[in-house]
Amino acid sequence: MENPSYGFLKYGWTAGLILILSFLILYPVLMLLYGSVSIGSPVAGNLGYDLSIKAFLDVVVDPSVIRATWNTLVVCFGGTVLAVCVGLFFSWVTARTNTPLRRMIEAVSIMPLLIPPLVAGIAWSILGSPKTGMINVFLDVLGLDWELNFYSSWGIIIIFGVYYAPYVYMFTSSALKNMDPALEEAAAISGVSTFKTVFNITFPLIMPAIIAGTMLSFVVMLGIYGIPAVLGTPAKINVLTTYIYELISGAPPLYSKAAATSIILIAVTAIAVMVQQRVLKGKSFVTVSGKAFKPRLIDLGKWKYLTFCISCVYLIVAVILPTFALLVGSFRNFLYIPNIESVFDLSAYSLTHFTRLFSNSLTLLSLVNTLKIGVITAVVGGLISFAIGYTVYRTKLPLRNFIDIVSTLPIAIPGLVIGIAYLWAWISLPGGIYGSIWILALAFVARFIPDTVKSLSTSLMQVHKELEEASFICGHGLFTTIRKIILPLIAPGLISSMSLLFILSIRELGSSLFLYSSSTLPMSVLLVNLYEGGDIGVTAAFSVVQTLILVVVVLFTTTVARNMSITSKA
Amino acid sequence: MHNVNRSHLSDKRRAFVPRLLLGALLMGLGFTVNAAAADTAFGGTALIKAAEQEGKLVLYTANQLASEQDLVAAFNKRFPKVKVEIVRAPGSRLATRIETEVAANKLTADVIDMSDRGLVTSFQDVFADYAPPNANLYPAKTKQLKNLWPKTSWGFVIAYNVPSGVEPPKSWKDLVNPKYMGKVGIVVANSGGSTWTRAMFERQELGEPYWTKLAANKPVLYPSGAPAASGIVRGEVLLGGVQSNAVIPSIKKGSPLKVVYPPEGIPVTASAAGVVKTAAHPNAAKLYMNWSLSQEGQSAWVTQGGGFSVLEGAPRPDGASANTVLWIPDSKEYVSLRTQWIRDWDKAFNHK
Repeated sequence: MENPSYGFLKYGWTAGLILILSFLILYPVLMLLYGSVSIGSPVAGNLGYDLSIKAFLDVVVDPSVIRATWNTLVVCFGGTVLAVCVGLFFSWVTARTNTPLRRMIEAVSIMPLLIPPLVAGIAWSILGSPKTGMINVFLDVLGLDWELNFYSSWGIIIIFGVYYAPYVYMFTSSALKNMDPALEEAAAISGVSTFKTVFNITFPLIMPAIIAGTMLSFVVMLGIYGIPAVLGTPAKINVLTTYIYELISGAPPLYSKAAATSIILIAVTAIAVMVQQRVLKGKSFVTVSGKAFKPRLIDLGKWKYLTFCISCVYLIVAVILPTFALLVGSFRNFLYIPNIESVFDLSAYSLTHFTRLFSNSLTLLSLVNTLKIGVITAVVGGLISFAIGYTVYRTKLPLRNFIDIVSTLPIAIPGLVIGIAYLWAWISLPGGIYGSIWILALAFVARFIPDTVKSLSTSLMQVHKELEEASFICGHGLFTTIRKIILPLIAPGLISSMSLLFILSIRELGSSLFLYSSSTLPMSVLLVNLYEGGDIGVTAAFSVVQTLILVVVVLFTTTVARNMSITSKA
Repeated sequence: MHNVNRSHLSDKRRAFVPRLLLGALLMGLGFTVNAAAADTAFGGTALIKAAEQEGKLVLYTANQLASEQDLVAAFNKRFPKVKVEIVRAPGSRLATRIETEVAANKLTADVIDMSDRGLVTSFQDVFADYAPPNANLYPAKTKQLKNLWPKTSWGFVIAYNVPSGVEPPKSWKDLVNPKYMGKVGIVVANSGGSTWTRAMFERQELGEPYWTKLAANKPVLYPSGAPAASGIVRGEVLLGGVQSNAVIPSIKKGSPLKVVYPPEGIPVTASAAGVVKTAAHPNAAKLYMNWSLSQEGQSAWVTQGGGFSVLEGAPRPDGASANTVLWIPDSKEYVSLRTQWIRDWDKAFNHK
C-alpha cells in the first residue's frame, strides 16, 4: 500500500469499508443503543421521541445485574484459561510433534465447534446431572462414591473450556504450521530442551495468534446462552445472557433493559480489543518470509504416547461422550436411565425419533434453507472479512484501528439481543429483503465478521512485507499482488475461515430468531422449536443430523485447505 | 337457545354428530343435519370456497410447533386445499416481531395466536372484527379482549416418574410435603404467560405462604417447560407441575410418566387468537379460526394434543374427569399483579 501510485485508492477504500461496516454493524448497534433508551420498538422511519435513561439507571444499581456480571466473569475467565491450555496443547501436538494419529486428532479436535451451545448443554445435562447423569450412573456401577455435578460453576467452566478450545486451536495451529523454524533449530542445536524451546521460543513467536484466540474465546463465552441456561439454571447460577433472556421473555419484554445490560458486554469487548491492540503494538510477528522453509516435527520419543493419551482423554470428554449421549437420546424412546443395564436394553431403542423428524415437512425445508444461507454467508462474509483483515493487519491506512474495533463489536452482543437489533435496523430495507434468505445471510455475515477477521489475522500477520514489496518492485499492482502473492499464501487460512463461517451460520440461532419467515425457516430455529416443544428425542435426532452435515463440511474443507497449505507444497 | 334445542336430541345422537348439531343450532334449523350444516359450523360454503381459492394462510403462533402441526394436519383432513404456513415463536418474541412488522407496515400474518394475553394489548388494533359461529359457547372471562378468542388453552397438571417408585402426589399442596424434598421440578414463574398463571394460581388459591413452603422443599428450577418435563422423564427430578400438552402426548407413546389432576384446580392459560385486518388471505384465515374454535378443532387439540379447552361441551384430556376444575385468571389482575408478584416469586425462590 505504500506504493504512491495507489495513494488515491487509500481514502476510497477506507471509506468503502467503513460504509459497509456502518451498515452491517454500526447501524444495528446504534439502533440497539437507541432501543435501550426508547420506549417501544424503534423502527426506522418510525422513530419516536419517547426517550428515557431509566433502563440504564435500573441496570447500574440492580443487584441481580451485578451478581450476573460477577458470575459471567468467573465462568468466562475460568473457561478461557482452560480453553487456552487445551487449544494450545492441541495445536502444538498436531502441528509440531510426531504424536501418533495426529491427523485424526486434528480433525476431531475442532469437532466441539460443530455442536451448538444448546445441544452441548443438553448433552452434558444428560451426562453430568447430579443424580441421573449417565456418568454418575456409571460411577455408581463401579462402586465409586463420587458424584459429578455439572450443574455448577465448575461444570460451566469445564464445558466452556472444552467447547471453546477450538477457537484457540484454529488460530494457533495455522500459525504453528506456517512458522519459520530457524529459531527453534538454533535452540535445538544449542542444546536447549524441547520444553524450554516451546515456552521460550515457539509460543512467544505465535503470541499474536494466542492473544487473538484467547480474546476471541473469552468474548464468545460472554455471549453464550445455551450452556449456562441448561447447566446454570438448576443451580441458580444466572449469567448476563440468561438474565437477558429472562428480561426479554417476560411480559412486556424489557428490551430496553436487555439492551442496556448487553451494553456491559459490548464495553467489555471494546476494552479487550483495545488491550489486544496495545499489547501487540510495535511488535513484529512475521514468521513467513521470502525464504523457503519447512517447519520440523519434534521427535517426542516415548513421550509421544503421553501426548497421545492426553489427546484421547480430551477426545472422549469433548466428542465421544456427548456424541454418545446424543445418539442414546436420539435412538432411545425415552431418556429414563435408572441403571447401567438399561443403557444396553435394546428394546428401549428405535428409529421413532428419526422417522418423526423426517416426516415433518419443515425438516427438509430448513435443511435446504440453511445450506443456501451458509454458502452465501461463507462467500460474501469471507470476502468482506478478507478486505477488512488485509486493511487492518497489512496496511497503514487511516482509521484501521477504528475498523478493527467496529468489526469486533458484534461478538460481544448476545445473539438474542443482536437479533432484535437487526430486525429494528433492517426491516424497512427496500426490495423485499425482509422475509427472504438474504436478510438472514446478511445478519450472519455481520455477526461473524469478528470471528472470520480474527481467524484470518494470523495468516495475514505472518506474511512478511518483503514479499509484497518484491511484487511492487516487479511492477505489479496492488490487486495483482493480493491475487498472486497474498491470496495463495493465506489460502488455507481463507478456506478455513470460510468453512468456519459456514459452520457458524449453520449453528447460529440468535440472529435468525426475528428474521426468518415461514418459507425461510433455518435448521437452528426449527431445532430450538423442537426443543422448546419438549421433545428431547427429536431434538437429539435433529442435532445428530446437523452434526453429521457439519462433519462432512469440515472434512471436505480440511482436505482442501491441507492441499493448499504452503507447508505441503514445500 | 341451544339448551332448548338440545333437549330434543337423544344423547346418543349428540355423541355422534356434535359438530353437525352445532351448525344446525346456529342456523336455527333445529334437527336438520346435512353437509351444508356441517359447513355452516365452519362459516358456510361461500367462505370455504373463497378460502380454498386463496389456497393458504400464514399463521403466527406461540403454540408448540409439533402441537400446531398436528392441528393443521387435522384441519387439512377436512380442508385439504388450504395450506397453513407456520411461524412459531414464544409469546414475547412473537409480540416483538409483530409490533415491529406492524410499525414497518410489513406484517405477513393472516392469523395470530398469542399465548400471553398480557402481550396482545400493545397491538390489539391489528385484528379485524371477528367472531366464530359458536361464539356463545365460550366463557365470558375469555372474551374480554375484543376480536380475540381462546383458540388454544394450556393447563398445568402434576406429572410424576412412575418407575422411580416415588409416591404419587394427590394435590398441589402435596408438593410442599417434606417427603418430596429436592425431588420437585419447577419452571420459573417468569418463563412465560402460563407459568405466570400457575404462580398466580398458587398464591391466590393455595394461600400466600405456599411459595415459601415450596421453596423450603428445595425444588430444582428450570428455565422453561421443556427441560422440566424432560427432567421428570429422566428422573433428575421425580415430580412437578408441567403443561398437560407437554406430557400427555409423550405418555401415549410410552413415556414413563403419569399425570395427576389436582383437586384444587388446573391453572389454565387461554390464548388470544384473531384474524389480522391486513390479511392477504382473509377467508382462509377466518376458516382456520372457525375450525380451530369449533367442537372438531377443540376436540383435536384436547384428544391429540393433550391440551385443555374452555369451549362448553369440549372433551377433557385423558384421565381428567368432568369435575376437574379449570382455573382461569382474572384478566385485569393478570396484568396488574404481574411485575410485583414475579419479583416476590424470584425472592421466595432465591432466583436471580
